[in-house]
Amino acid sequence: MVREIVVDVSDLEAPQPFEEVLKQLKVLGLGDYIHMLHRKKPLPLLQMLQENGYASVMRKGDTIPWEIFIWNTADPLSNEYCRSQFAPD
Amino acid sequence: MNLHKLSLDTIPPILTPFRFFLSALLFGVLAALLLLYSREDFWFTRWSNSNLALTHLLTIGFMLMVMMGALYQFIPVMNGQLIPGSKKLAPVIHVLMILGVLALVSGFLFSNSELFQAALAALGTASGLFALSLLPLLISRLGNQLIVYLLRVLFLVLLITLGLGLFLLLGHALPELNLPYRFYTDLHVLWGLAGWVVLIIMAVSSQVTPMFYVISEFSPRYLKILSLLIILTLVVMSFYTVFISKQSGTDSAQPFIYYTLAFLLSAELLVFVFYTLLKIAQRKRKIADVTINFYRLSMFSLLAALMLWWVAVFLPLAHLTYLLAILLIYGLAISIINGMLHKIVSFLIFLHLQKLSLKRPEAMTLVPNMKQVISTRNSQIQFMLHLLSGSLLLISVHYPALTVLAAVFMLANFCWLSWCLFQAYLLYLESRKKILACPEISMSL
Repeated sequence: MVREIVVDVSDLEAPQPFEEVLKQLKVLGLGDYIHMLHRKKPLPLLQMLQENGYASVMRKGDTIPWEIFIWNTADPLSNEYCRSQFAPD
Repeated sequence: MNLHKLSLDTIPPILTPFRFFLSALLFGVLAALLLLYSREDFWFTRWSNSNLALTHLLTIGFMLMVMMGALYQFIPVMNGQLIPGSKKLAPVIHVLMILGVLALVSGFLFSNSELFQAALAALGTASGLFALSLLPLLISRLGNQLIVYLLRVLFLVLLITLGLGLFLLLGHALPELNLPYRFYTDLHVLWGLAGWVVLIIMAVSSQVTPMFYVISEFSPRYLKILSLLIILTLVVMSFYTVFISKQSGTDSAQPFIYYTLAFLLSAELLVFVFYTLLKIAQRKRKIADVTINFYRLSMFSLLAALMLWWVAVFLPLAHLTYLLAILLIYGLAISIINGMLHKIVSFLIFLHLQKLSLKRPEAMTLVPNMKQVISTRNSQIQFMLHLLSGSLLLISVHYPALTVLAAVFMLANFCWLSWCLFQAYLLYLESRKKILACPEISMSL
C-alpha cells in the first residue's frame, strides 16, 4: 500500500524545512513517499538525498510555489509508484 | 506538469566561502586599527593616504571579499551547479585578493608606485579570473531565472566599478601617465555605492531573505525594472559627468540636468528602501530574530544618506562626504553583511554537518542547530557593537576628539564578528570529528 506523507514547510525558515524532511525520512515505512510543499527549491537537500539513495522530482505547485516528491529507491513499492506517477520518463 | 530531473552540485567545500569570510574579517580589523592610529587626522581630507587606505580595506578587503565567498556558496544553492573552477581557482583568487588589497593599502599609506603596480597586477588578475569563472553561468540559457538575471546586472556593475578602480590604480601605479584619475574618483564611488552595493543588496534581499526570514518573494518584474532604471541613471550620470560637465569645466554650468538625474537616482533608491522595509514588515512569521535588525539598520542608513544628501542641496552641510560614506559603507553595506554572516555561517555549518551525518544515523544528534553555532546573545552583542560604532563614527566626523572611541568600538565590532565566526568554525571542526567517528551506514527503511 502506497502512502503519501505531506510535509508543508512553506512557512518555515531555513533550515527548518530540511530538518522536517529528515525527521520524516527516519520514520518512512515501506510504500511511503514524501510530498513536500515549499516556497523555494531546496537544492542542497535534494542533492544530499540523491547521494543517499533517495530520488526526488520537483514541479511547480498550484498554491505553493514548489512541490517536491521524495522516495527511497530501495523501496520497490514507492519507487515504482513514484516513478510512474511523477517521473514517467 | 513541469518536471525537473536534477543533476545537482550545490555544496562547495566549506573552506571555499570560509577562506574569503575569515580573511575579510582580518581586513575589517586592520581598518579599525588604522583609524585608531590616524585619530583626529583621519578627517583632515578625503584624499589623505589613511582615508583612501581605510576606505579600500573596507570596500575591497571586507565587502568584496565577503561577496566573493558568498557567491561561491549561494550561486550553487540557487542554481544547482558550482561556479566553474570553484575548487581549484577560488584559492588562487583568494590569495591574489589578499596580496592585492595589502599592496593597495600599503601603496596608499606609503605613496609607493611599485606597491600600486603590484596591487594592479594582483587585483586585476583576481577580478579577471573571478569574472571568467562566472562567465559560463552568465551566458548560459538559464537567463529566465531571476538569480541569473541579477547576476548579469551585478556583473556589469561590478565590471564598471572595478574597471574604474583599476583605471584609477593605473594612475597611481604609473604617475608619469598623468591620468586625470581624481576626476574619475567620484564616478568610481557612485558606481560602487549606488550601483554595486545597492544591487547586491537587492540580489541578497530577493534570494536569501525569503529563505531565512520567510519574507514573501520579491516581484521579479520590480527587481528587473528597478535594477535596469538604476543602471540607466548611472550610465546617463556618467556620460553627463564625463562629456558635458567635464567639457564645460564645472558642475554648476548645467545644474538642472545634474539635479534631475540625482533626483531620479534617489527616487529609485527610495523605492528600493520602502519596498524592502515593507517586505520585512509583512513577513509571514514574525519570529524575533536579531539578524533582521541589521537589515533594517541597513535600509535606514540608506534612507538617512538620501535625506542628508537632499538637505545638503539646499543647506550647506559640513563634512557631507564623510557622513555619506559612513552611512553607505558602514551603515548600508557592512550592516547587512554583518547580519548575513551570522546567518550564512550558521547555516553553512549546519548544512555541511548534516551532509556528513546522513550516512551516520547515530551522529544525527551531534549536529548543532543554527542557534548553537552562533547564539542569539552573541548576535545581539554584535548588533549593539555595530550600531554603537556606526553612530560614533558619524558623531566623530563633527567631534574629531571622539575618533579614538569610534575606532575602539569599530575594532570591538570586527573582533566580535571574528570571534563569532571563528568559534563557529571550531565548533564545526569539533562536531565533524565526532560525526566521522560514528559508523557509516546507508539510510534504509
